[in-house]
Amino acid sequence: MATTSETRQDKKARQIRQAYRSRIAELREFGEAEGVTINAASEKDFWDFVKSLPATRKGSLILMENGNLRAVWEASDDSHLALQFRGDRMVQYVIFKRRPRARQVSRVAGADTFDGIKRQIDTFALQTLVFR
Amino acid sequence: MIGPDLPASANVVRYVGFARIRGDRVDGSAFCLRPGEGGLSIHWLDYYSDLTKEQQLIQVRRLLRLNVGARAGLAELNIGETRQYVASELPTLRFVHSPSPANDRYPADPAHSDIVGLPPADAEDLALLIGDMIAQRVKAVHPIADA
Repeated sequence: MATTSETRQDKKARQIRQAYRSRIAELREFGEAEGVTINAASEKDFWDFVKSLPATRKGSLILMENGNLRAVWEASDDSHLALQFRGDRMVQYVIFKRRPRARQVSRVAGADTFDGIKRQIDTFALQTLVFR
Repeated sequence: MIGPDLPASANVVRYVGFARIRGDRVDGSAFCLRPGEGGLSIHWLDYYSDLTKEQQLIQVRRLLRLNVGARAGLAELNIGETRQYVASELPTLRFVHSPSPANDRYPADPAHSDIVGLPPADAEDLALLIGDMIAQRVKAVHPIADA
């Protein structure tokens, strides 16, 4: 059973990576038409980050005007994690988190390393948003 | 000079390139100022109060002063809902009327307006946080081509 489960996880991870590849190709094409080229260091960091967290849900990917990729995971309660891959393994983040039974949403933004981002995911209890 | 505030009940649209559209959502970076910018260009749909929504959008598309991308969109916001949602983090946000006069290249654009009071481009963390909040209030992303 463990093997079957691992295979299913691997298959899902492959599907997500393929979806990201297609999206990046689309962003490259339309970005260039809009005068924006994908920053190679940002793309490398995005892939390194995705590979470092193999069981992630698929986020939405966009191309910023500065050429950086930005990935977004969001929930229907307005909780949200957005990561801009700046290169040099530094990530600019925006986090919105609605705590259970809380009326207000906590909102923070800043920059951190890959490991720091993983700690932020834990601190803000965003595991269900990001991980399968 | 900053023009008069648009009414809270008004609806506006902002042009967003395809690279910043995520399915039926718009990324918050579409609501961030570039270096040197004082406001974000929008269009006041209800300026054309005697037209249907689709006719209002046709007017906006006709008067855009941009090289429009094939799969770009027009992100629609309600001003009152957006200001109320963002107020806890940014009480200075305003939507102001700034009609563009005709010039050698373009006809007059009487519905042109701006979003002002946004964080400057060099305050990127705050700018993206506010941009993401505004993006969460987008009601619809209309296609750039007429139906």
